[in-house]
Amino acid sequence: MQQLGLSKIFAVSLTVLAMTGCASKGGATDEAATTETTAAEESQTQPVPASPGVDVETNVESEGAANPLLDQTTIYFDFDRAQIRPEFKEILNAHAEYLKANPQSRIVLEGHCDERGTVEYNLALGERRANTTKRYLIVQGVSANQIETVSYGEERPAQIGSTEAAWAKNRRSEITYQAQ
Amino acid sequence: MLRTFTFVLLFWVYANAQAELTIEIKQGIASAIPISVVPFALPEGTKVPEDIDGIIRNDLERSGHFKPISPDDMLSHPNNIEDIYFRDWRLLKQDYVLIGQVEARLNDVFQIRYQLFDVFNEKELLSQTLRGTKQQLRDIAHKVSDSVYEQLTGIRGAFSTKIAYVTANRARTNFTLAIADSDGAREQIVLKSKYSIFSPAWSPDGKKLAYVMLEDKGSRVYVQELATGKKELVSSSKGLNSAPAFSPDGTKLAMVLSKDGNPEIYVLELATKKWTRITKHFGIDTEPNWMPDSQHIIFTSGRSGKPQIYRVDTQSGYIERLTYEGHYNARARLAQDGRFLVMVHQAQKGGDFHIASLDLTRGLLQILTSDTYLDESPSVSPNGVMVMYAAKYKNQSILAAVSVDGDVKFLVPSKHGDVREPAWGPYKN
Amino acid sequence: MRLYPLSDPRSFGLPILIALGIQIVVLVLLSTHWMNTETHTLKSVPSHIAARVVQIEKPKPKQVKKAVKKKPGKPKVVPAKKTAPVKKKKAETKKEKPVKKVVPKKEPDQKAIAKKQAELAKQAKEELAKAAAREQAMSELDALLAEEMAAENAQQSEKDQAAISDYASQIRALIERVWRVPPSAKHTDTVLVRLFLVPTGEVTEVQIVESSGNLALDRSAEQAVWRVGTLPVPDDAALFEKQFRRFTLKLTPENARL
Repeated sequence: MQQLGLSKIFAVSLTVLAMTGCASKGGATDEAATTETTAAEESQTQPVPASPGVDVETNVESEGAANPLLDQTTIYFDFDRAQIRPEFKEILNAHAEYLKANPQSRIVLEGHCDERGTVEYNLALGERRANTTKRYLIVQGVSANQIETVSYGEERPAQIGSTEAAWAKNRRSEITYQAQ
Repeated sequence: MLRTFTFVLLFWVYANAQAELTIEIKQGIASAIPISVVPFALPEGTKVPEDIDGIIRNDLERSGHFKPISPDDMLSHPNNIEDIYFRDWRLLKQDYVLIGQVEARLNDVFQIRYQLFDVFNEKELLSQTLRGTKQQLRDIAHKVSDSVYEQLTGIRGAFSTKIAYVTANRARTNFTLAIADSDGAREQIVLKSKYSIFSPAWSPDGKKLAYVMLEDKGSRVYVQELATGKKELVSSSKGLNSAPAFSPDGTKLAMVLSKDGNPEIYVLELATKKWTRITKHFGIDTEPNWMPDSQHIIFTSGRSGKPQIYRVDTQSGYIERLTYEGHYNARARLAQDGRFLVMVHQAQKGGDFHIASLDLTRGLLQILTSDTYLDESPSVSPNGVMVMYAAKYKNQSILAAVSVDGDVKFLVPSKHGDVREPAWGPYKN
Repeated sequence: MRLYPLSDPRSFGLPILIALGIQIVVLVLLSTHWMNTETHTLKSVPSHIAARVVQIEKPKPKQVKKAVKKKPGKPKVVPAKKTAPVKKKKAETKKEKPVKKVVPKKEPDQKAIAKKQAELAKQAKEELAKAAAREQAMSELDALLAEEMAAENAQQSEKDQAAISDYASQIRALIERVWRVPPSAKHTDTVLVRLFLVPTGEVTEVQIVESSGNLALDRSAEQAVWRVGTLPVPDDAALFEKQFRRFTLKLTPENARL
């Protein structure tokens, strides 16, 4: 009973958070749509390429019947490690079940790192994290063509700061469901 | 008779065997050379838009090998040899004095004449006259610094080189790729983007920059021509496309691609656009950097469990490990024609990340930085003397520089939020 | 005598007679002078009698010994030789006087002269033999002296070596403290520098004897010397002259990074 209550609060708060997150990201997308031109003093300046990037994000809104674990779309890693920690297997299992039940569903797995270490090595490590997550899901029976991976290295931190707490929040793999 | 002669001979030999005493000196000190760069004489009536002797003083001080005194501490400001009283400069314990005159010519052209004197021997070591427009005054000042530096240290000066770097706002939503003089002046924006830009790499002729842009779909490698701003997408395969590095002969571009399963080193021949895969290992292989022979590549690999530095012969495929000391070694760059490795180094697990140099011939590792933390992206000056790197200092990402022997350190002032990813450009010609 | 008038030729008679008389007197005088030159040539004969010079040189060895004790550390053969020529000259002048006496006796007897010459020749030979013997003795004496001097020198040089070593380390320490090694120097580079000093220890000149190939390093070595300026040197004038008036520094930056 109590669990249900808690998870409802969880679900609602997550949804709210996700929506705000979505909003801010959407804002950024709007900004980028305008082509920026730099101060054209020297001929070396270059207009910013307006990237029609695939920046579409939707969140799975949980309904009463759906698994609340599906609201959790981030799993965390140990420093310099790409192994799935036991406490996150449940979440991944939930997503695996959903994906198997909805074969048209597509997700993008993002791999991220904290700022320690070199930029390029972290880009590779981020990819590793995304890949191990993907591999886990495939082992659970998800079809490979439902999963895309991308690495953002240390370039898109979830939390800015140089503390252990911030770093822990940045070492992650994020599940993003794509619009159909 | 013969006996007398013999003894006389012996005496002579005995006397000369103790001929000249030789005292062996086996070590000295590595301290900065005291030099006085006297304010140059300026032309009457014409404003000189740059502080030429100030630039020279700054260059020499930043190099770490000189200790220029402030003009306020000088007993006199001579502009001609007749006005130099060497005894005064010896009193100030100066080894060298540099004097000069700036004259205005027609059409905004300036003429700068300088002379370098040895205070002990009271003789002129260098003298030159340079001419340029007012836009070239900084270049002229750097040229003087180069000449003085080379004359007194035996090393080619790198004051006329450029650096490239990336700036970002705190929130990481706006990024700029810029180039500037090695002293940070005359910044020029090369590229602006909402996407993260990193790993800038100069072509050996200094005309192009290769870099990675992290778009939503993933990382892409571009090569941009600086003069025209024209950029070319070089690699956008599935997975990673990153860590570009031009070979010293300018014919190849090394890169990291993970299209075949995991990050590996590849080489692209620029003329033929032919790709060659260099590494084949399930571990992470990244951050390639060419050796002067344009044949060997040093790179970072996690194949032994933690990132360490390896070297591969691109022709034979032979790989050997170079670093054994430290928990984490990555992003190696070369100094002194491949004799030294400069890299990001973490001594033990959980320790700070610093820049370290490894003498490959003697196997000695030296940690160069201490005032900064989370040091990364070291880039070595073309004369192998200075290392510029990105670091965190009081919660801000800044550029810092340290000499390859770890003696001199300074921070590069920045007007932007966070500065990172420095890349030191090559000699002009 | 009757005085003839000038017109008469017979008036010249007396003047002519007087003139002739003067001529004869001059001739006689000249002939005696010739006799004198002959005595000179006679003088050259006695020089064969070199043997007598040797006799006078006998006291020489004693003087040499005294010289040794007064001035230690200098080659000893020289003073002996110096006294010899001086003595020789004195002997020669002495020879001149007795020779002149010999001259008037020479005239009467040719046989006696020949006999005397033979005798002199024989004497000369004997004296030459004696001279050879003396020289032999002299060289043996010299040898003994040389050995003695060598022993004394060895003792002195041990003391000197200790002093030299002491001053060398002081100089080394002073130079090492101020030698600013340029960053381009390799730990195998070596430069040789010659210093010239005055007895106060002040350096008056510095020369690069052998370059290291790295001009900046050469200059740094030179400057290190000037920076010290005055070096510690021994008070002993002889030792200073011998070892420290000019000496060489061999600089190698073994602690250089390259």
